[in-house]
Amino acid sequence: MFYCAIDMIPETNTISYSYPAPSAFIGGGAPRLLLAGYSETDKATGPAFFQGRLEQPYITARCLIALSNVVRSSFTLTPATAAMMKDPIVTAGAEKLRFEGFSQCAGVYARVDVLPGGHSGIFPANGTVNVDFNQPMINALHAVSRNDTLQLTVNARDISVQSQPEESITEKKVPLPVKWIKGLTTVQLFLAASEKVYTLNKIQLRQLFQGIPAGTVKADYYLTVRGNRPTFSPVKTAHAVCVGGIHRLRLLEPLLPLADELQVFVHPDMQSTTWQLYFGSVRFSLSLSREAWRGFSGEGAALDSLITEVPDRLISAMDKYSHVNQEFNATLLAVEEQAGFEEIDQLTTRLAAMGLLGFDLDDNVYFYRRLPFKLNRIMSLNPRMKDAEQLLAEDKVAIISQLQDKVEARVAGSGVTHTVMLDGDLARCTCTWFAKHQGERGPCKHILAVRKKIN
Amino acid sequence: MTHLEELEQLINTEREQDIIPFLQRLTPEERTALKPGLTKLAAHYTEFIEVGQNAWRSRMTAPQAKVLAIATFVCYDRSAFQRTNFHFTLFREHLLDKIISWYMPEWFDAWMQEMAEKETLPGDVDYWQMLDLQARGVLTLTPTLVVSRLPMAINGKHRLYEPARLFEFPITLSEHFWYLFEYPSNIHFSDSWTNSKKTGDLEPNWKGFILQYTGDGTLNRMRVLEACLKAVNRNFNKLQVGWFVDLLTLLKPAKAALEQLQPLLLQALSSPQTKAVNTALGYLKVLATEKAFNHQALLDHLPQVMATDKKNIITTTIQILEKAGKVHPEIKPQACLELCAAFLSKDEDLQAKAAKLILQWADKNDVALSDQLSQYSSSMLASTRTVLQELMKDHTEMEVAAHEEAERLPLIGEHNRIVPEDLIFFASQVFENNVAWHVDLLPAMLLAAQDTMTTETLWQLEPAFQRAATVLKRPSGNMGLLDITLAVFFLNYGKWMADNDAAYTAKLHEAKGGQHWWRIRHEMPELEHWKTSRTEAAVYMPHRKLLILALKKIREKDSLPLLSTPTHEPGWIDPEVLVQRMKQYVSAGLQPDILDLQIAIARCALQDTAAALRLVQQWPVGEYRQLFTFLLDAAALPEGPFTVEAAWMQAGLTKAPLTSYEAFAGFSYSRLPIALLNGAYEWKTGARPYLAYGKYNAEKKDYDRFMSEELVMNITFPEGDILKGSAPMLQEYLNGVGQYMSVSITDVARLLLLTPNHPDVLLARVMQSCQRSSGFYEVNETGIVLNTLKTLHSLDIPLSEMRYLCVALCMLHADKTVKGYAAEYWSSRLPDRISSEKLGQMIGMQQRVAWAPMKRFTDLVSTQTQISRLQNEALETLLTACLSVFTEMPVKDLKKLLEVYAEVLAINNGSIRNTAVIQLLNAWQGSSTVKKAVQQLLKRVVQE
Repeated sequence: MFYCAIDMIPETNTISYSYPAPSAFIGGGAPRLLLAGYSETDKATGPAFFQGRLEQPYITARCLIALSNVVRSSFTLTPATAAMMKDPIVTAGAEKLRFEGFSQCAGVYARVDVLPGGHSGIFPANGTVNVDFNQPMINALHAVSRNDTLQLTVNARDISVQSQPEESITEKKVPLPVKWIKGLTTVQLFLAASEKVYTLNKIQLRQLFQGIPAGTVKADYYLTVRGNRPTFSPVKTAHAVCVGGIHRLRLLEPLLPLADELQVFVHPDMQSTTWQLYFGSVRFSLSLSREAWRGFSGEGAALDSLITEVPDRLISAMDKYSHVNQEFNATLLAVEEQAGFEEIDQLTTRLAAMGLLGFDLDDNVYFYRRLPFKLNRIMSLNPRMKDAEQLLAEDKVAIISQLQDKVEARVAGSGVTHTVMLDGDLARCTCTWFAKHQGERGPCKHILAVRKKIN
Repeated sequence: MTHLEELEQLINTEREQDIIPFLQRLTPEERTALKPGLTKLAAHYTEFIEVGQNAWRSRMTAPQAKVLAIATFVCYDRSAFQRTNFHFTLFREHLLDKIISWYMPEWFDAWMQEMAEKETLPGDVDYWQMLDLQARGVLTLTPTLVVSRLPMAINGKHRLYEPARLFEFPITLSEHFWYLFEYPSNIHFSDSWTNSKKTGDLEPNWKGFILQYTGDGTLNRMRVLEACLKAVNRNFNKLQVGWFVDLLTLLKPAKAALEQLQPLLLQALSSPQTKAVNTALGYLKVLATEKAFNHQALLDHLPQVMATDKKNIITTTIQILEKAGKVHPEIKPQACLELCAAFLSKDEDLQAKAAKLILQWADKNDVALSDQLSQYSSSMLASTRTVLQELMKDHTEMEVAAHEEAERLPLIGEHNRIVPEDLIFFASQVFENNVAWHVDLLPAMLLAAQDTMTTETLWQLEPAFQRAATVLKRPSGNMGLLDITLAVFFLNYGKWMADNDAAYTAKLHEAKGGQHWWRIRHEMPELEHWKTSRTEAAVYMPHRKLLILALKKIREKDSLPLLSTPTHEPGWIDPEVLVQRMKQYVSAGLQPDILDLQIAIARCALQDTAAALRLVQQWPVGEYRQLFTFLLDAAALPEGPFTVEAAWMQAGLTKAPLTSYEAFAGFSYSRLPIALLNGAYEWKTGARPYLAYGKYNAEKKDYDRFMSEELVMNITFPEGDILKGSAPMLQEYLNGVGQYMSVSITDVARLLLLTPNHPDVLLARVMQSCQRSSGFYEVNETGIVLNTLKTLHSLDIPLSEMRYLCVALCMLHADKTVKGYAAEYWSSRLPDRISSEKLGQMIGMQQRVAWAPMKRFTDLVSTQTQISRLQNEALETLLTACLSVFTEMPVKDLKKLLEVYAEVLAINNGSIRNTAVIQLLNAWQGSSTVKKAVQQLLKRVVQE
């Protein structure tokens, strides 16, 4: 029931959707924030996902503003092409609210987590929706002060009645770049592989950010802690954390004076860094791709796991057992469904790639949340996988030799024939993509095709 | 006559008046059917044609443009019409007026909105036209559309100030006007759009308009004030926020109004634009002593305000706190805690002010404050720490960390060994990854593989050949000339192999694709004769000659290896491997190529040569044995025979560049000034006269020229007959960079690594070209400097005069990355692999004439303090040495340098013993600008 042919959705760079009414911030004595939601998969009206009070309204408002800045930012596109997605998505359930979004270039991922203690209210339903972050609402959030209270409704269904009774509500159309969706699925795999390397206190984090050079920074910078002082240096040293496009970190600047501490998480191959700020029961995390011009969308981290098909039975079972924001327990599923652990391992990556799992760095677990987009749309976003399938369909892959896990193959490319060698996990190809990235950005379509063929 | 023919005739004969009746006659289907033909007509008429010498215009006349605009608007769909660019004509000529009554496409409204969102709305669409379109029901006037045009609506014809029209439609001022405060617009440019001149008190622009009509009550003054303050927090750009702040200031809100605005003033403190914060603080200062002052809200915003690095903001904040504290003493404990953030700034004055207030307000038993202060103590200046000592007494002073010395690795070892991988995968990589030694390794590997090369392997190299062909035809921006040279080499190799392998040739003939390298083989240059404007620079010759040599060896089936191929990153050769390679030549009784041998010698890692030397001792007696003994044995002197003079000379330059060997005196190279070979050039930093450009002189049709002075670092390159002998020295090539150094950013490292032991010759050329003056760097120059510095850093070699100069200049570079890199170069070589004294002198020799702005250096020094005790001490040595070469004439910003020096001395609790510095300090006492700083320093003088 979940697996759809991946070519059902026409290829396009953007999709458009609209909210029934815009989100609204209603000021006054008891300020209320009503967030309008949209889901491509679940358009039926139902109860709101969350209704209640924010315990740290000032901090939460600041974090939402910072998130809005992230989704409006772009580090590679011209302003004309960048006037696209301006809205994040929100997941409500299991006593947690998570707002997540991408910069328009898909190279910066940000998430605001409002954890238990950061709110008090009820979760009448749960799920994930796109949420309207319009300019007037963001403007109004600036007015929230420390002593205010703030009521929040997530996925509010009847905003027009409550907020603007006299005005006619115009439907707002939002163009959404599809690479954004792909980035959302890929970044979780980077997060899952990341490890915490530094915890910096209030003062250290401010000292660190003072060292970010002005303007757009082209060179890579390296984070090291010398003695007690963290610094960014342009010189690569052993064990230093590599940060490309360091100017993107300035998105965090407005939040720095408010944060209690900063934790830095790093992907083992330095392919991404995550900067997590803590404010009591609210967290703000910012993940940067390896370089400013490289979005998470093109990284191909999930490709290896997509080679093997996972039985639909497991996927639907997992959908049955899981609730939104709930920790995803692969072992439990393995036991319940009597599936092999290897199968389950692949399942996790595959589910993340399908937009069904997010990753929580603090708890070091995947959590269930289903992206508010059609599954076949999400699955259509792996062009390399599609290209690999095309190569197989056109019978362009020839296995020359196969000795245990050593395989040599020839794959017909455009005008030339590529050589692919597999040796266990190690794979090499003579194509330009592989030559350039040496596997750092996922396997090329030729390697994928060979792996798929021998499977 | 078909519809299309009729249309064509209309356009041809410019019958503007007939196009509308014609289109009206057509059914919607017929209009759609016209589209393909119309597209061809439009393409024809919009084509640019030459109408005179160097004069071009589009083929269509103005009436034809109008006819085409109307026709395309009516017949095309939205995206096709957008692509035509006829919408500019549509609005410019007001053609819509003629169409709107009988045709309006459904997409019109959405199309306009999209253009407004993307800021691509034609300039001829004005606010009044949009109001009209809305009245006719074809356009929804959204805020985005309004704010895109309203700022200009204040001007009438000829851009003359004409505000009366704004009162024509009530909605303009009652609703649309307020959008200007809520949505991003270009309102900030509107002040300079008018052609009207200021006549009375009021500016003829929006600001003047608002001032006038808030004054007489037409516009709600309070609402404008509020809207201005709200506008600073709406993610508008800096200029737009600045405009609203200026407007607010212009309206001069009185105290009563400010009281009412207090919540918004406090909110403005979280604006990302410092101008807004500063202004809001200015107004809050007025309110600070009021009973109704919301001091709690101020405390809430303090963390963000204190986080700024702007001095005036923090100063005003401190003033407000001082005032507010008198009326609301309860804020003191919290305010003290927040004030600590000022200690992250390196500004002495600021720290002093914050410290003073803390000291005045602090409760000595406040544990929280004491904790907070001690956490900040590492970033406090020494003077601040002294002032606050009392409050931190319960905390032991945080020790500065011990120096973390970078791991010392030998020049060559397992850590940097180059491990060649399979040829077929390596060959694909060489054109993708800018690794310095790839250009050397590919020819070496092809040479080594000549006996085992099969048709099948050649076929597997196909992707790499194809890539090389692309690199040759369309090199990407990040490729240097060496990448292209390598591509030519590789394609030459492929062609040679094909010419000698019938099976391979047959396969190649079957290859498909017009761009396949084999199909364009006839256009391929031969490496030996390849010539472009860039290939002629001598500096590129060594690599090219090596590649030609490799090709020759392959063609002649010569299996002896190249000597110069690096074995260790970034460009070293293991002496043992070099000796083994050379042994093959010695055994075969053959002479190696002299340039190949020179490069091999220049790249030889001379750190641990014992094993290699033992191997050499086993060689038969002869010149090569003597040569390699001389190279590898540090104590050995040259002993003839000397037939391969270039190799001897190279060995001498590699091993001891500053030593002149008597034995070499008769070599032909003695005709050259030695500096051209060992890089020990003379240099001087100071003022030099030059012919500057003045104003343009219309009579002379040229610019006026006059003599002026510029501050330059100038390296003197002596004249010499380079590249004239039969076997030129490698260094002669490296001197040949041309008048304007035309080296690509990506090639710099590869060229420097021809002589990793002693890269000074090229280094000097790089500095002369890219760092002669401290300003005006191009992107390219900064890139070259950074890559040069990176290459130097990757080489663990002792520093020469040129290298000290290079590091010093880089420490004064405008680019923060270069500066930071240079500082790291210095600190990672502490304590004994770099002389802080020598480096300090080098910097001093630039800064005694203020070659670079002093702030670049003082800022850098501030970031380098308190990293380790050892570094603090080295910094003191560096600064002392730097000052010791100054002159008695104080230079600009000397004060700042002296303050930094005083701070470093205070951290180390050091004293001044250097007599030159003491003398200078005494001399500087007379200068009013530095007097105070000098007197502080004189307290640290210890006469010996």
